[in-house]
Amino acid sequence: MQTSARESRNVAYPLGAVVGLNAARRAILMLATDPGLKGVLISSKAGSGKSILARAAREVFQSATNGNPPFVEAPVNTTPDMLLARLDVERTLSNSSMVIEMGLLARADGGLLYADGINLMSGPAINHIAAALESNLVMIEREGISARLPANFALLGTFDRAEGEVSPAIADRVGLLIEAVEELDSGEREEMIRRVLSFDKDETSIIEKYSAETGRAIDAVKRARRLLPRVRIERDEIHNLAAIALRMGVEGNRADIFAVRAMRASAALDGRDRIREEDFQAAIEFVLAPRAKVAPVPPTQEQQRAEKSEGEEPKRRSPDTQEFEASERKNRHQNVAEFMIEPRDGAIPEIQGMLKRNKGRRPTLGKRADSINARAGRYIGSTPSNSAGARIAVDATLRAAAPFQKSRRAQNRYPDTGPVKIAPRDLRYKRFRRRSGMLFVFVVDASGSMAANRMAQAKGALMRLLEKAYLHRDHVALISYQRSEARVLLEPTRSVASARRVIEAMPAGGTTPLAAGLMRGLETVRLARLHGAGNAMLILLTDGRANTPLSRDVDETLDPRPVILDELKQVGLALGKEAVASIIVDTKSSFLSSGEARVLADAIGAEYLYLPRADAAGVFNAVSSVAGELRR
Amino acid sequence: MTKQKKRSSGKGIEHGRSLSGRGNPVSHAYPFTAIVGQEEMKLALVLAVIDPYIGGVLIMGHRGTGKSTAVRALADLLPQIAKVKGCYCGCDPARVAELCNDCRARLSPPRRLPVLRAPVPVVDLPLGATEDRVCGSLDIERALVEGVKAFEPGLLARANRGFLYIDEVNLLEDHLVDLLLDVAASGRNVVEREGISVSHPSRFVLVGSGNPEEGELRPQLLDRFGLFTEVETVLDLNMRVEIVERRERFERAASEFTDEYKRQQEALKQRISRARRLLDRVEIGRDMLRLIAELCIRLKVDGHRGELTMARAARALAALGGRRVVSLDDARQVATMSLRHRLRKDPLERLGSGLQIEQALESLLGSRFQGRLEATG
Repeated sequence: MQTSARESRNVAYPLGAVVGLNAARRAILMLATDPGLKGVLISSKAGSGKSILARAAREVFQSATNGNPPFVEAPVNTTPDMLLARLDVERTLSNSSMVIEMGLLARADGGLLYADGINLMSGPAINHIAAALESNLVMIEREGISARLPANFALLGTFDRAEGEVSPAIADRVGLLIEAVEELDSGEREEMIRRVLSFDKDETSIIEKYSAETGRAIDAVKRARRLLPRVRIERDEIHNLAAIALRMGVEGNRADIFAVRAMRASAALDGRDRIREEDFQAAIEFVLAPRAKVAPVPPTQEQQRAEKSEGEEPKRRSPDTQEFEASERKNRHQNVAEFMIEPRDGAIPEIQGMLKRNKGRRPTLGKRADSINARAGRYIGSTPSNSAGARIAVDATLRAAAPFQKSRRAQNRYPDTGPVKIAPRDLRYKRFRRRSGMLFVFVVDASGSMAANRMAQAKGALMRLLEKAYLHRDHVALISYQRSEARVLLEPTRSVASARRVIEAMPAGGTTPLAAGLMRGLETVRLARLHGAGNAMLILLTDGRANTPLSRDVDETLDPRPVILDELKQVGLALGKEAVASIIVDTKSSFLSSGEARVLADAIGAEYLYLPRADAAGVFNAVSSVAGELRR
Repeated sequence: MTKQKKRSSGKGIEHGRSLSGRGNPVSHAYPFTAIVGQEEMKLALVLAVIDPYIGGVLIMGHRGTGKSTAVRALADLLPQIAKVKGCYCGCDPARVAELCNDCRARLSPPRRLPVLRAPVPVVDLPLGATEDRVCGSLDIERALVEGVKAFEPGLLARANRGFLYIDEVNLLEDHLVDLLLDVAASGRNVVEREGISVSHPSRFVLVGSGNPEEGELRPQLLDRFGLFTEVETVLDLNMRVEIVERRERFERAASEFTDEYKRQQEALKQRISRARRLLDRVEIGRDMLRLIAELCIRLKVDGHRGELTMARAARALAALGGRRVVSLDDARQVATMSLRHRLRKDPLERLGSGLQIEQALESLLGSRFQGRLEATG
């Protein structure tokens, strides 16, 4: 957005002039040095210069490699057809033999695949990219096409974390993961403004400066590539990295391999053939720490692991100095780990802003009772019957027409239709299937004394829903709210394994910003729908307390309740527009209840269920019966 | 299915079928014997090669733990089998009853079918595959050019008598799952579409892999897999270092690396083919069968695929060890992988199913079987 003015001038804003994306810049140079790192994912806020970096990456990549490697862009709405291969209709008809157009993955072979907003790409597209990253191949078996093509490319993916995470299938298969939210201090801000303004005034002078710097980067990468095979890595250095990966609970063993490569690329880039501390740090910062799973490890597991690795270590330790170095490294790395792991889900979306946005430009979505249809989704087959707006399935049409070609040519009844004679009755139309499962979003009030109970109910019901999830392709998500924040504990999933891992301990206490929880739920639904989810339902478990308004600029001497109710009504409207069904499960025991939850339900327009001693089964039954109605 | 078509239609455009015969652009697969750790997975795969009737292997686990590496490495270990020459589904010349229509037609004035020896095929069923490519369909090109209704065989034909590998099996689309279940049950692929009507044998060993966090598998499909192995991230530090080092060496000089493992690969290959020959003569005692049956009862395993698989896997393991009789250890080693996915699921159960099986087995052994089995085994 920020770049649009510049793009219209068709001049890239210089890489050297980007302030504050140092880690990302470094990572891109490392990737250019060793494309075997398979890619970089860069998360940063919109308008912080990602697209500039991407263009710079292209330039460095292409100039440092012989043979002009491809730079292929995959847009957010990329479909599997575009990635794999598709029939070239015109040429197929004019040649009267199948002509296939190679997809983006094969075209990127030997080069760079750039995907901006990679977190918003559809699930199937993501899976194809992930598969190609892993095997360096693209295997196609669809719609008459059967091929294995080389697809050895590196991925440059950028995204804004506020819009959702990148699929772990991708993140795992790419070496470098960069968090580029370097907050600029006031001095840097000033510098940034100064540079942009001077660029607006005088492009050429700054471009000269820039090209000198880019030139240096290209030279460095070229040198580094020659040096790369000669960088020596000692077994001990691998050992240290692996030990850190182990301690961080990094999943899988691919990360270790990437870490060693990153270390080597970093050294080569600085013109060294030996590893130094900073290479080590780079490997941890870009490869291992972002994959750390061990934020708050349950002590038993930690102990087990520690014991395990301790058991190995004595054998390996040799001279004292080495030991000292190792332990010193260890300490420093631990700091890195602590620093990197914690904040992940701390970013609370600006709820107030979201509320306002809802009133404005958001499109109204209809009810999503879909399965097989003629318009959109995944192309699953064809039918001879035409319905409004259906698209012609060329492959199937050709197949239908094919057997008659000889006789039609002989009859000469189709003189002007080119080499392939197609009759109206040959026409076939595409059928699509859209995933038709439901998304159940549990929103749980985690404040107050009964929070643990509610959580247990939600978890139980959630697991029960998952048990049946394969039937309907349903997904579940879990959100808790307390104090002033709402957290997504479980992103929409249909995996029992990941659900089980997440739903463990839950903090409790504090006041209750109900609207925040609901907004978070709504946002989750929206993101999931970008990935093809259908019907959705919010299940709110609460005792009816809603004692904190969202707005921060409310006069504290006044009664907050009218404000709260007003906010909830807005949320209710938003839910309705987004076609999300909602249920409020009132968990307050009967003699204490004075119907607050009912008032909330009315404000939101949610279905109200009174289940004071609801066990998981009760919640599950209630939810399934409503879901059953929705499915019909 | 390797009819080469000599035609290149211009830059950047390649024809599918003309490419599929060209083989794998990645010349060297990582050697099976160079895979560090993950012993259960490796054993399960080897057993599935020794006895195809075990019904294949499902490998589930974390990303980056060598699942697909292991499956791709398997191809190098597979024995040669006799096939009818020129047959698109690689019919077995020794089994006349199961021949495809083409082979039967060639046979009909009683003649001998031409035979060649070729390796057991490993066929990938990639993500996003469509039904026409899986079961085969009309050959459009021949239809367009020659006006002939010819059958273009699909993956199920290529996989006949071999392995069908589905990576990310839990992402497989529903209609393909239905199709696979159908064919797997009947052993034949029946194609009735676009005016063609073909039926050919399609017996394949299903190998699947995936990450449980991507979603669950349909129970019917889960049940189809004979063995189920779970892989986890290697936690042993020295092994991790070894993994990195081997991978590094492989990527720097693949052919030298594979040469290093040639002897081990050859030795394993030999063991496997010896085991395949021995398999029919391996005996499994009555007591052992009883133990297996009681174990399944105790664990409330539905159906009988559990005990059959476990018995077959135990036999294959005995054959691998060159033993004529299944020992208690054989049964013990295969119990978990044969039954793990057949236990009734309680999603809140935190005790791993592997542990449940081991406990059940040990308590059975403690009670009645100990003495008798030790004597025979």
